[in-house]
Amino acid sequence: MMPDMARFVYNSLIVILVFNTAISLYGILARPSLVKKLIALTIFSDSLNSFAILVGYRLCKGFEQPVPPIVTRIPPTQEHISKLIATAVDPLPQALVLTAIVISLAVLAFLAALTLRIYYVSGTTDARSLALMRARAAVEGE
Amino acid sequence: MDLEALVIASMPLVLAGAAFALPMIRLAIRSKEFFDLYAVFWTGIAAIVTSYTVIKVWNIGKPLLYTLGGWPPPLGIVYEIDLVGAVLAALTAIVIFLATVYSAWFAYRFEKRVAWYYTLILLLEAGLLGCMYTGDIFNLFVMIEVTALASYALVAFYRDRLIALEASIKYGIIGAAATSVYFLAVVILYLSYGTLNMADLTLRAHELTTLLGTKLGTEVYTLALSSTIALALSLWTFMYLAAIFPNHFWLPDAHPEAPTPISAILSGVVVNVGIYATLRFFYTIFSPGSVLSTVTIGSLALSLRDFILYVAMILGAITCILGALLMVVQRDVKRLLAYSTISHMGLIFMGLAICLDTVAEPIRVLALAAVVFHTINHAFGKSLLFLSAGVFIDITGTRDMERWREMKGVGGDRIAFSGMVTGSLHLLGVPPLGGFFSKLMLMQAFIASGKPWLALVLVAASAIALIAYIKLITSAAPLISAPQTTKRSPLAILTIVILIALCVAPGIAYVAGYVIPALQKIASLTASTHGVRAYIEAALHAAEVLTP
Repeated sequence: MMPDMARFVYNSLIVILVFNTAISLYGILARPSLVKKLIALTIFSDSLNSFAILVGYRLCKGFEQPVPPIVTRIPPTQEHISKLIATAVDPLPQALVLTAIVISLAVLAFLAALTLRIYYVSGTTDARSLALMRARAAVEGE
Repeated sequence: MDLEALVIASMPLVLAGAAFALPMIRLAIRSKEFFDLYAVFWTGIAAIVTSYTVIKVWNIGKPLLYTLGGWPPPLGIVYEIDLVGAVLAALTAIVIFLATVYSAWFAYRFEKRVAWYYTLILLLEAGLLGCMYTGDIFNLFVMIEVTALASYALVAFYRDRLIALEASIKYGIIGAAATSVYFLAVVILYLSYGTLNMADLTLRAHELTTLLGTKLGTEVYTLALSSTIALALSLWTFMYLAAIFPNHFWLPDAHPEAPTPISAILSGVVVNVGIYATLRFFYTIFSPGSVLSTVTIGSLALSLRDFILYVAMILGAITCILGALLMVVQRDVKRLLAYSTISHMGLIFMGLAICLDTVAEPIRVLALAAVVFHTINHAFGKSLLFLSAGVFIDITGTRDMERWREMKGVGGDRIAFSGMVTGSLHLLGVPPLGGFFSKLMLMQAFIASGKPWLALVLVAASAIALIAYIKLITSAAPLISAPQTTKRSPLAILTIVILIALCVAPGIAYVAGYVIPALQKIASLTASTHGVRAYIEAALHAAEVLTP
């Protein structure tokens, strides 16, 4: 790909991610349905994860044509190693994202199970009706 | 490798292992007594190890560093335990141990699910100790998630009660979004500084050099702006965890709906994660003299760091007053105590925000000492109040204080009542008890830093809270006029008596003159320039030793 084209795609990705984050935050805070809140939550965390991946992609620091962080010539020469260091993609954000995805999977599985439980107990997943039911409920003991 | 450091650093992992072994043990053993003993054993071990850590770090006088897997610091994850972290971890472990002992009595009402209950408690403790011990900002994110997930599940523990489920999902959805925001802050910090290690980050933010000795290429102005964004985002998450206005809305729903020992843990120690993380970011990583202090906002004549701290200070003051006001109108005893937690968190945040660039170093040390002392006092006082209230809830079968007044002949427990009175006076700040002295120290810090209006907020909030505590005590008082009819539980009484002693002891130690020198040492090892340097030196030393 031509460098200018790559830069354009990169910059539009950042704009898209910002929009994505804003829309998903609206979904989490303003949508009444718990299921939609959960979907918005996954979009939110995935947008942030994609952002982390973009941070590792060298274009954001002004490098051109990043390459995978793998030594392909064995044994490598000194010149080869310094070129790799200068142009390779940073693998650390990918490791961070992998961890973050696993954690958010666990949280999401729990929240989905909780939503299902709420549906069994109350017959609704609408946050407004749940708030109403809550307001009507009396103070209980243990 | 130092064997003691290995034992200390493996504590979070050991507890997580103990937690995950429990569901499997449950397949073979089904006796409640066994699960009680199992949980008390592991939380007891954690309490002993974390208390020993305090003594060890106290004796060596600099942060204790453990490198996981033997990787040299900027590359691998490290546990870096300084005195404040060690003290807060020991506080966490002691409160959780006492709440677990209390649970051995309290859990009779959900005997069939008790294994899951202890699994979650052990997991929660693993996450909390990890938060206090870690020296890596991404590891902090992981540990916050572990803590948060265990807390959501414990809030929803009464799974047939809609209110508990609703409170948990509200806490959980916004909480998951909040921790994701912290993840974004971590990524931004990594983008600007190229490291995740706290000591390395501190060095880079102060002297623009890395632990490996190379210079940072980025401009100071760019670094300051990106750090401001990252700091604002992470502070939002920490304020959610510590329930600071406007992120306080989940706490009064979530904390009361959990089983009572869990309410004591959540209100006493889980909210401390937000305080500890804020403290780490403002007192160590971006302590005065970092890039944040070099860029000023022209029209306000404030550095960026001071601007963020002023925001935190004002939000803390609003939280303090708001919590006290809403506390007065509650009927539900546990909800009243939850609002008291919000009020105290606001107070502690006001104390944390004193570490401005314009404030002299001895006053910053005093403020941190006061914050640590008040956190300790609040944790013991709040868990004492929740556990004593739990005894009354067990006797009357309701959390509604209006109905307590009508139940004259039911009979109450005198020791639980004295626990309730001691806890109320302690948190209110009545002289011989510890709470008075920590509020006094906070007040001294406010006035010495030239912010007397914060001292005014403290006094006003205490005065408003007085009404609520009087309401609490007068509602419980008619119950004990008759002798107790229900069976008295020795375990519950034992924990309440220990907690009463832990509320009285700091006050006596303060009068005897032991507290101030100890707190000075704890705080100056973190808040002074020398302390920040020691934090970096520990990592530098490990990097030198481990690099071939």
